[in-house]
Amino acid sequence: MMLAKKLVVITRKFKSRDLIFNNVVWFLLVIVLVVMGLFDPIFFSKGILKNILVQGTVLGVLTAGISFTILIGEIDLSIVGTIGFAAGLGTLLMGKGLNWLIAILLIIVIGTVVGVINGLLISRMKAVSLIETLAMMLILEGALLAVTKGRSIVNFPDAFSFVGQKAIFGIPVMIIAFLLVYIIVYVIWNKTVLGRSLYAVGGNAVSAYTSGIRVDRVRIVAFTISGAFAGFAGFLLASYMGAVTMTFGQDYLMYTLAAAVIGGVSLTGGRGSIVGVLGGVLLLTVIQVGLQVLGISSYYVTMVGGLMILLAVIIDAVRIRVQG
Amino acid sequence: MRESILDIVNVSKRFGPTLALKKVNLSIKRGSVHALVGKNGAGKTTLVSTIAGIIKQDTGDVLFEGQDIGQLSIFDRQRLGIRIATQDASVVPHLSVAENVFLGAWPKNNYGFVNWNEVFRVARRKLQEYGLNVDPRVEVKKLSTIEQRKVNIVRALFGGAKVVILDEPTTSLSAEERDSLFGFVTKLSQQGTTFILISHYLEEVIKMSDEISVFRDGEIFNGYLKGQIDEEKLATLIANETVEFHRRTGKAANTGERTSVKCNNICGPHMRDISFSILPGEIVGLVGFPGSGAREICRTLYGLLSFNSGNVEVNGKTLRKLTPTKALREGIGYIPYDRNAEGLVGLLSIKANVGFSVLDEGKWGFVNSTFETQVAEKYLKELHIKANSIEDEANSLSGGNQQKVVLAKVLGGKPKLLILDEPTVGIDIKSREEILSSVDALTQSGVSILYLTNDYGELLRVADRLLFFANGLVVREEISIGLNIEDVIRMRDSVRSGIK
Repeated sequence: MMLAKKLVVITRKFKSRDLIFNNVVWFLLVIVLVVMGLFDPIFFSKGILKNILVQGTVLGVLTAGISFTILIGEIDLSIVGTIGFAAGLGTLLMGKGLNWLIAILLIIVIGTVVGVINGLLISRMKAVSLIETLAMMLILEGALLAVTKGRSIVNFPDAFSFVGQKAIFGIPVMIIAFLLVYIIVYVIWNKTVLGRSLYAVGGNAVSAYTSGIRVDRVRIVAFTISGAFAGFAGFLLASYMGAVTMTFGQDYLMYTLAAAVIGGVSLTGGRGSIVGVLGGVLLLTVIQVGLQVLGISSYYVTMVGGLMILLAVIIDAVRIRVQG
Repeated sequence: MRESILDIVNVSKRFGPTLALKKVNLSIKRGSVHALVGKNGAGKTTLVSTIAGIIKQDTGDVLFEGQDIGQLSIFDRQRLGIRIATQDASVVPHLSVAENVFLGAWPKNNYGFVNWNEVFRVARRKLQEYGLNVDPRVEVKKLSTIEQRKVNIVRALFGGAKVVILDEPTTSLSAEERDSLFGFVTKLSQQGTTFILISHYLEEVIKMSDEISVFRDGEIFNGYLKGQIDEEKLATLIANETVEFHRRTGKAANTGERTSVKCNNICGPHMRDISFSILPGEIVGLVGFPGSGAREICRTLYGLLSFNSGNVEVNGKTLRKLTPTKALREGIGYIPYDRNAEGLVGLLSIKANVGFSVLDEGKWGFVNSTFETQVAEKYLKELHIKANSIEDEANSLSGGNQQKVVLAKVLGGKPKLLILDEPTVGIDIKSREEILSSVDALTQSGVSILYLTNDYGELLRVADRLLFFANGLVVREEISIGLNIEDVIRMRDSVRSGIK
């Protein structure tokens, strides 16, 4: 009785419309889970949750990174180039005798350097991020092809594969990395000067500059973080798969954009929450895992992915119309 | 009594929970200038949007020359002769002035081609008639904002308009340009064109309107005829309470002749050699036409424009290069003339906007949220910002309250020099007077103010000293006591003609 009363008060406090729009992704997630569960009760088990989180980790880390750039009203397409190139170069050198720990660090550093270059070109040279990062994506995808000559890189030491394949106290290390990244991003976005600056630059860069925020520096930092996260995602994926192929990570691009937008990060900048992004990542992962579990042919997966992105864009457009 | 051309009958309009128009009745007479005044959000713009067909009323009728046009589209209404010239010049920047004037109604020759000679000839004549001295062949984007706006108005008039709606037509025009615009409007209204004028400048409203209607919270109070009402009475009607015009309480007792900020021989775009100094607690008014160097020096001092030579001395420290970040650190604050473009991040809360000034108060790169909340709460109260809480989005506030948020943001940084660039443009009178009195109060604690505005009445009420700018130089300096608006205009014009 008390609880019911409380609930009524809470729902009255928020306008129900805003409540739905700000959390639309979580509503969708619940609906999708229930629908899938009706087809196959396995969706209500603990094991599947673990599975979803593990499979969502790479997408999650990539999306957290690109969300930094979307939040400031830019975009970083190069992440899917970075993920493959950084992982490819790192594991290749590891195969030639480089220490596994240094290889991991190298993978992340490569991503970071790519991010810094993107940031400098976009903030200082005023390059358009869509095109600049598209070019960078093609360069890095090509570079991976050139480095691997089309062959897959395999046979990683156990230490390298630990994060991707092992568990601590029954919890896969992937999940720990996933959640850690989201906690860090949550703190950055909500509690720090950098986070406030990201929202300010995305909301109105001129006002931000006039308010004393070093807009160029914020842009560089956003792209650097995006690059570093892409590098880290490259390591996670290599560690998880145990191989780097010549098209390593390239199919993540559209899903990462879709996850961010479904999660409520506005493509025009200045609006979004990391909790929403997490919801977006989980939603897309659940759908992908669901299609596998339900035995739907992989021939349909791309189409469903496309439909999800379409849905994301429509939700974004409706949200902007309704909330103004 | 002249016949009415436009009748608004019992029009209501609701936006979500707010009733923007409450059973508004209004009759506008042919050939008259009818002013609509009121605070931001009182319903003026909603009503003219209903008249122009941009939005549709929920209930009630709009009659034009006796015909019900309530359901017609904006284009149909334009064809009938209702035109709106909005605040933001809606000109096509890449087309020539003449093409813009004729936009969509180009005269054609016998073969159906556009008759360009005719276009330029007629455009030139129209522009001259208006006193707008621009080449009809020049691209609009090359004109100043002010000239663009004039082109926009000429276009509305040329499109065969019988009723022209002018929404804040004189924002950021100089007094001289305002006068020329009024002259034109008055002339045309005598020839039979009807004007609906929305303006915050009560002085101009009283001078040029035949009839004035006051909006308050969606209700209309009409029937104030020319000569029956003065500025202070009108202000009281708009606010629904007595508005006292703020007057400077007096300069703070000066602690010696120590200067606060000094500009030494600053040269740069539109600045040839600018030198002046400001004392602590002094309010210095800047007077000058656009391009005279007055606005440029304001923006230079805040680091928004760069200068080639010269330097700025702030409390004895010499600075040769400035950015906003650096200026803020040296205690220089700036309120830009366009609060939406440069002052606020509209998507963020009041708290976050005010908090920009105290971002460096936290440790380890974290925002000091407690302190930020304190500062925001303090200014919400002190500046009478009307909002539900400091968590409200800045976008949701009215213009006057937005400007107060910008002021709060700057004050939060505890500036020693505050630069105000048209701080009261487009905001209601009550807010204006509150801002003026806050600024005045600041000087008691030794803050210096640079005050740039085209509203000389306002300037004379608060400034201690006036600097006149022309051609990138400070050409005259006057103590403002005993001057009136006409004196200021005369001085400004004489220094300009003296240079030429």
